[in-house]
Amino acid sequence: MSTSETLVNTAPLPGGVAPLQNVALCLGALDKAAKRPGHLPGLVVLYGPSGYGKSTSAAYVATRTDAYYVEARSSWTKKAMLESILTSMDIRRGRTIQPARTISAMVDQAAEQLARSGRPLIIDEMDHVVDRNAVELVRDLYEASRAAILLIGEEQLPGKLSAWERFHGRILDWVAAQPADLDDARALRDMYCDRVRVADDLLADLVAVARGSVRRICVNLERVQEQGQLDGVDVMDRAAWGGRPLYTGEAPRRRS
Amino acid sequence: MAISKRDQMWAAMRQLGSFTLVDVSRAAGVTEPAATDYVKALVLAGIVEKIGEMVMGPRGQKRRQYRLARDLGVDAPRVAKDGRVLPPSGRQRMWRAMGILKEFSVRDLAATASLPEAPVALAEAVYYCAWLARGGYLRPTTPGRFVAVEALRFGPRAPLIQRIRRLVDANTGEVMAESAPAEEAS
Repeated sequence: MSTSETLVNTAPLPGGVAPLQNVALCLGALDKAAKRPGHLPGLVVLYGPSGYGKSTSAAYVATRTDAYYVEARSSWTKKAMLESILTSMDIRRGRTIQPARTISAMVDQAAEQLARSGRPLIIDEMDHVVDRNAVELVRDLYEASRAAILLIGEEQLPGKLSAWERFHGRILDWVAAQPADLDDARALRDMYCDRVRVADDLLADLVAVARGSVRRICVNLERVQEQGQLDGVDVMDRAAWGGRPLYTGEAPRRRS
Repeated sequence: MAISKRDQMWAAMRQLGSFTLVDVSRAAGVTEPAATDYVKALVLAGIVEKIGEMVMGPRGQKRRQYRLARDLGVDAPRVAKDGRVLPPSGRQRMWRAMGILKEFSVRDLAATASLPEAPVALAEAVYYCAWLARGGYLRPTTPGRFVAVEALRFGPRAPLIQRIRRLVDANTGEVMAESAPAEEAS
């Protein structure tokens, strides 16, 4: 089960659902890291504003690559971080193989499992790791395992990481999450709209109002479907929707 | 019943390094046929290899010696009888995906957890989510949508749905006999 066999698949999803562009980008970058020649680094960063579907992408990518996945927390200490990574590998208390006692032994343990299994590691909310000064720990894990590692964070993540020069130099690829476009909206429609069909003209309005956010498109697709069901129609287009407001993600204005 | 037989055999093989089928069945506490099936599949997958020819047993029987050729780490490899390495089960993939998505529709989940060669059917996702909701792992929000309860994610292994048969006396309602739970195919 070498990594190169399990990675990469940008084919349409079952049921004819096309992957979102961020999924394809992310999968492509991680695959490149997994198949890289020995002299190249193996860390990949996916960054972008919240709502752009980074975690959705992570879920797809984790399925496709059989990756270990952890989500960083603001409360993470170095030890908590390693415990969390080891837990994702099923190395935890009460199991046949238990976490080591010291931080450095835990790094070895996690790195060994990464190296042996050939599976990538995904660390979501990487900003917390940077804030907690645990970046070097990720570097240690990488150096010891040479595994492909995907780091996911907010827009400012590349800037924050540039402070760690030795870490920065090990990044193979920086992937900026792309704002959701009409193609993405179509893919989401195919996935979500089983009750009411949403026409392309209305879909374009949803994209415009979403300002790049996959999440906002989903919320609006849901609302359009609900309204369509209330109205008893099979297709909702711009005319059928009328002037009803769409969810923009902004707090409602105060009425005077 | 936290660990499966396959896990026990794999742990034993990792510990032993080189072994006979009897060694594996003893160390893992499984029957010899069970050890034979798993080891043979691992040989076909190229994860275990035959070494030496035959070793003399205590009463002069011949036994084949095996060796772990590729130690893939803590997880027992999922291999079919013919040696094909299988991806994690659909439920396993759903369990991981719901931990990442946190809030999702059953449709999201099925699409996210699907592999091209092993799609997850919507009905299967509905069934699994319903059971996880009964167990408190998921909380239903709007119809067809769930939130994963993070405090109950104890580890990476997907909760199993077991089949159990019972003999119940219809007069008293008392359970008179119970089968060992069998794991449902997932």
